[in-house]
Amino acid sequence: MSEALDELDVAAMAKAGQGDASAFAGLVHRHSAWAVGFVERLLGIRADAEDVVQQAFLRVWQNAEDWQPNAKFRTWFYQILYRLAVDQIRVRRRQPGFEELDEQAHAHPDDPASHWQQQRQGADIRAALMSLPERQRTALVLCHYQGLSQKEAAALLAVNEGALESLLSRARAGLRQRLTEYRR
Amino acid sequence: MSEHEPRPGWQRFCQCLEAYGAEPARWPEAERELFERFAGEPEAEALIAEARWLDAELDRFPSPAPDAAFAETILARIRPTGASIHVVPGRRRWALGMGLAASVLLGFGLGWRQAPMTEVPDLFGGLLFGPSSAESVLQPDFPLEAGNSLDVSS
Repeated sequence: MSEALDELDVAAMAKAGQGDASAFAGLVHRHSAWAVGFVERLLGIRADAEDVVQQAFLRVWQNAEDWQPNAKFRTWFYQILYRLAVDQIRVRRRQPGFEELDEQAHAHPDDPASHWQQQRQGADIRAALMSLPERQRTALVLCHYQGLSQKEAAALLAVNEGALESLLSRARAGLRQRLTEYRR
Repeated sequence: MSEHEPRPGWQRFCQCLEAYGAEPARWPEAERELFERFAGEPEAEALIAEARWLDAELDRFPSPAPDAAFAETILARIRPTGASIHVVPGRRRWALGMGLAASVLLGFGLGWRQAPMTEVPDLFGGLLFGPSSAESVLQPDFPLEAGNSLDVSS
């Protein structure tokens, strides 16, 4: 992200802290797309991702007055999104039936046409990604889809860059294995 | 044993390919040179093709940008004064509504049993719209400390 956009965010947060809803609207428009993409690939379900992003933006608004520009808005917003998404994952794990829902996503119908359709729509890669441990999946989402640098992704996960690389290697190896299994 | 193993950088090339895939732009900047060094060699090309296959698989999970209504939903929920709001996900909103309705009915029932008939108006003011319940609904549940540290797990 360019420095000009970072400055735009800082100015928007300052105004939002004073109750300027139009400045806040600018933040929402600039950051919604990548935020939804990030959370959707962590949670696997679009509606849940939109709920989380909505909550995150409202928390930004609630806390805008206290925000200090000692980090990029985008970095700070990533932290909010990630922690809310992790909370959502924990809530899901406590709900009975979650595993079954996940398994349904993995299931392959015998009908080759349906199987082809499922592949075409990316259901199998989605299921494979969701089957990874949460931190491996997050590392992969941050580096592959979100395009964060190793330094940025490692900071968000609170690990060093060597540990990030290890998470990525295991994530890709796990993904390759699962995709191969699904297609047997 | 690989024919490349003794060559400087080969092992690191393989590690980067395994972790970051076949797109050098995703590699650590200092190691992108390794990609150029080995690309084109048959053994390296086989590994690159495998990594490229996985990259392509990952790219089959699209996430379209939300439509304009998504931003409007967020903006409709904020208050111009910056006052805090308790956010309720859409799918659980009905449950909250049922809970609130049950609380109101319970409160009304208890008050009806305990209060003399002449005190009914005060009962409504105190139980349903008193300052303590309003404050609890509007309290922020996500306080920020100095330096923007966040703890949403608590």
